[in-house]
Amino acid sequence: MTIKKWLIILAIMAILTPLGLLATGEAWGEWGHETIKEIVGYVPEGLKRVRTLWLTFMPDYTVRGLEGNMLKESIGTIISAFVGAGIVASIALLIARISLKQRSSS
Amino acid sequence: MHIPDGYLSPQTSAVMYVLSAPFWAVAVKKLKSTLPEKKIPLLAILSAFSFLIMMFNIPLPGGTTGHAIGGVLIAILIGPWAAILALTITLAVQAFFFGDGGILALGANSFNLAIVMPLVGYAIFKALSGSADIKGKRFLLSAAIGGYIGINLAALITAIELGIQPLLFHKPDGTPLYCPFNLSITIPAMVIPHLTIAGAAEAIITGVVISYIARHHPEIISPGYNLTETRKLEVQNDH
Repeated sequence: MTIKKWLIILAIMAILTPLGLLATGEAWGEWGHETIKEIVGYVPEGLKRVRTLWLTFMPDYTVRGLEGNMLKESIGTIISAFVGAGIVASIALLIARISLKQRSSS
Repeated sequence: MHIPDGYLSPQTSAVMYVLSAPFWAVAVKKLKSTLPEKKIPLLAILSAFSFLIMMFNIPLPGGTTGHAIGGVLIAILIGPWAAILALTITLAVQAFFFGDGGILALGANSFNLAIVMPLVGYAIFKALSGSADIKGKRFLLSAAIGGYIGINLAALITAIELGIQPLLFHKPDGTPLYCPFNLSITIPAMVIPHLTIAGAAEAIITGVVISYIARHHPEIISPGYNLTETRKLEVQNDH
């Protein structure tokens, strides 16, 4: 299977990712503070304290400014898909390249 | 199945990093010693594939959502140790850039999804497929079952990590500090949707993709593409 064929498959997957928006609701146990308060009546202290400080630049696979309706959200999701898949593939390539370099130098 | 930060105590998060570390070390070592240069693109492609497949949320019984992982599928194509790296990279990018899964919880999420799933699922696939014809039904079914058991095992250990929190970490009056649900809630909540819909999705995707690749591009599945079995191929070539 050629790399080109794989890339076409990945691009088609990325373009279809808005289908994932059709499933409303959240994954179990991945709720934010408000939802957990609705479910158990309070936000556990530690859960409140230990929170991610990292500023995720595309929270929940959305793009700022692209929200409000299904079309905008879909475009945001597709952009997230391409950006995310690109970053993931780049890191994998980088790690593999470094590994090979270390092999040939050792 | 991506545990956010706050649901696990910092102690649990630390333990899970410690548990994952040796697997990451072995995976990197194997990459250095056995990765054939022309397989690098496949590693990158399948890493991106795992990122994308996890974006396809499907509705699950109980009003929640879930998605396939592709962990065993990737393990069959590039070997379980390279799959660990592909899936860990995906989980890290999801946590750091998209807020999906915690950063402190990355050790736990990696252990569940990027380590246990491909290693155990692949072992089951190997045991079931044996020396079956890669174009045959047994090969397809073995892949599907490996995927099904892999995702369910990941769901179960995620449920255990969450469910032990109120037992281990609570205020003197018993109020949980982190995940407030005990095992009797977390296990059915995680396991039932995965035994049914999410597990079925994983099994179908694993079986269908592996079957397609086996029929049309068998060279990808042949030992040469499997990082753990490159040596075997070299031996075969000598004959």
